[in-house]
Amino acid sequence: MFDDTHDLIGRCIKREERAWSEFIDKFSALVYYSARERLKRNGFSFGEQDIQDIVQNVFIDIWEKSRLAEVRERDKIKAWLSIIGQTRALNFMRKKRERLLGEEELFKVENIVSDKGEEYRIELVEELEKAVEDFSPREKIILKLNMIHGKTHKEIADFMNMPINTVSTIIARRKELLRKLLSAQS
Amino acid sequence: MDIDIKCLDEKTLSSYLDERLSEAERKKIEGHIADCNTCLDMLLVAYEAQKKRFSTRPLRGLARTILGTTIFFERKNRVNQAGLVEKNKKKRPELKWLFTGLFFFALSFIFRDYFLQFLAVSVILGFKWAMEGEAAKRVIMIFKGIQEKEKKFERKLPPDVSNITGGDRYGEPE
Repeated sequence: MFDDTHDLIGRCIKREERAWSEFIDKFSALVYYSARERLKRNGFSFGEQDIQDIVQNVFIDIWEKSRLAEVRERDKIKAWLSIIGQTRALNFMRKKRERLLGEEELFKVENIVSDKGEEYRIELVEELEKAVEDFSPREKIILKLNMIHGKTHKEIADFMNMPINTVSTIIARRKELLRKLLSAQS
Repeated sequence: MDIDIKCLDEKTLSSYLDERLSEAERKKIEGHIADCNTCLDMLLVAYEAQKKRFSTRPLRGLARTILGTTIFFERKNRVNQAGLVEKNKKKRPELKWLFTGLFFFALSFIFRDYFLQFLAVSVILGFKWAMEGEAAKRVIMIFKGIQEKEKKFERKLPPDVSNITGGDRYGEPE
């Protein structure tokens, strides 16, 4: 067993089969979770086989194109793998949708969830987008994470690598400003 | 939702979750994710995935399939590469006649007393090399093919009836 991810990746780059087996065991669940979460969040309908195909394609791509050599920070590979899993999931569903549309089987494409909760969320996002238009990028992200994604101050601070006090101050100030803007509008 | 072409690449986007990222790079990514909800959401999922502890047991079957597929292709490639090397090795014996011929040709100048003998040997070896080459083999095969075709054509020719006297089946000759 290789405890050190850095070492494990190094062995995979050298194309050691045992290390590669270890790598798949260690990270396939993470890629699986990321791909499934992406499809769920984007409202795609999908089956177990779709996710398994996506995960398999991610690992085949990494192995065949020796993509692990590109990884700059080997200890931080989880984020990279998760992003790859998500982009591959989106591309997979896009291709599948195109294929189904090409076969004129539109009735099979149920890729957009149109429940009321989702509609309300879209409206909220649009409203917030307008309201925060003049804010700085960092402030926009903080407000979106807090108001749309429901993240706590601590989580935002951790995600953005910022002190929690700064996050709390920005949220308090900007929410106050938004309240004033909205009351002035109404 | 499709991925926007202008979106950040996977490497740059994932680097945002690395706390060692420089302030300038961080600001550049923030400039994008502040307006791109897809990338922001992807980063959030990646952040959540990083924090989670996954059990590998439920996916053991999938992991085995992935391993089998990737290693199968790897071994297949290795076999193909080995086959190519073997093929290249097989090509070398053809060249031995050429090199030996050249060697004898050089010897003919060194040992001037046996100039003609060495030269004759080098010519024979040169001829051998030329006849064993791929091009020569192809030319020989083409000629053989033409000869066989000609033989078949000769066999199919109708029998010569000029020397046969007497009438044919339609009656007596005039």
